[in-house]
Amino acid sequence: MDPRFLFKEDCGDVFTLNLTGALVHRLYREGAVPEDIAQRLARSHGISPGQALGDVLAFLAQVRIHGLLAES
Amino acid sequence: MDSLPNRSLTVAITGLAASDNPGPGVAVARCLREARGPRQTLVGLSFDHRFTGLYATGLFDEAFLIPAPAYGDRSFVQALADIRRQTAIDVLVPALDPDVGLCAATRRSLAALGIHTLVPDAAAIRRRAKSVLTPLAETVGFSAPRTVTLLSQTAMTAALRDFTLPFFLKGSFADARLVSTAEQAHAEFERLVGQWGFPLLAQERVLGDELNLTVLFNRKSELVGAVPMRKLGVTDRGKGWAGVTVRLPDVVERAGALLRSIDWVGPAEVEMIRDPASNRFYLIEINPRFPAWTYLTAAAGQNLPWAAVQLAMGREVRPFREVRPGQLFVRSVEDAFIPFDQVEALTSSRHLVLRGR
Repeated sequence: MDPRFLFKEDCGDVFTLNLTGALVHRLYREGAVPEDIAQRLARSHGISPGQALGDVLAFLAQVRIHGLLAES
Repeated sequence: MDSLPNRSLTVAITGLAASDNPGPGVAVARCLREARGPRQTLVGLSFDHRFTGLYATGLFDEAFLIPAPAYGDRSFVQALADIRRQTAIDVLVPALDPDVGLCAATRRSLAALGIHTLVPDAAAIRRRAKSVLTPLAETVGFSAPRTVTLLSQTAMTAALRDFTLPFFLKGSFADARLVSTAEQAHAEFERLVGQWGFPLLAQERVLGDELNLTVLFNRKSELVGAVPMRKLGVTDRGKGWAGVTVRLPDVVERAGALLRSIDWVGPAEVEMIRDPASNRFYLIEINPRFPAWTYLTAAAGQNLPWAAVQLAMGREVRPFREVRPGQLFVRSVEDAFIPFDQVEALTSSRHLVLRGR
């Protein structure tokens, strides 16, 4: 199961991810590029690759803003 | 210097209130049990037999009643001399502010009895007093909430004009209440003066995340360990009931520099509030002892009470370099069952053997 909680080590804030967010976060940390993650989501969710890519990039931007990409 | 570094030690601990406003003593004892298991003797010292930490299951081997701190230095030393004739205490860990003051004042007498301590001197204790905290905070780039010393009812009335409600009223030694109305402020003023005497402090309320540090300094005033914790849950009295360890190397460095500048020795708790908007840290208080959440230091990979006992014995402790973030503590309440004759024994003979209970 993908980790659903992201803990921010410098302040103790805890962020909860939904299943899709948890999957995206794990794949990105394992080295997948946003385009590959979007392709996978497009297939599993029945949406266009373009829409999936937009969502993935928006999600990663939020995670980056909160300084959570290197932490779990 | 301890000539037999591997021998079993007898450690006495104070601060054993274990109510919803717990003292640090039980947490200190848990840390020591975790580090050394049964290969040590833990002695609970209390001036009140109702401090329920004395009876915590499987924690203390013996308990003694000692005079309340108000009886002063001579009574304190005399009581410890009497106790040491029965139980050879090696180290005393004072876990209440007044007990730290007593140990600082009587350190030489205690040493002559063979009782080792690791406490700051009286001057260092004075230099971190609430009333002088603002300039100290600024030396290392911390902010401090606006604070005014109150020496009279007139000053209280002036504070009500100058401060925005709600604000804190604090005793100079302990106790803090958030007051929301003028009536409440006057009532708390009377209560605090009655309990703690003058001066009181009026302090603006700072909103933000409550972040506390437990720190430990050796006899050379060098930082040996530091564990930062963010409070996640508090009681209606503002006491931490849940928290999580965090990694704040910059804050640890600044707090370390601040305490080093006043020649600190031994444990302390640095209480801060972080304004999340500005990321400024406000220094609220420095307590001259371990805090009640000290058991978390063991979970964070820095068993600071154990280290303090080693340092008190003159043993070398290498500074802890890492803290384990994301360790959560949640406090719970435990029922303990004690035969009444044990309480009777403690109150009448001032000594109770608990070993094996």
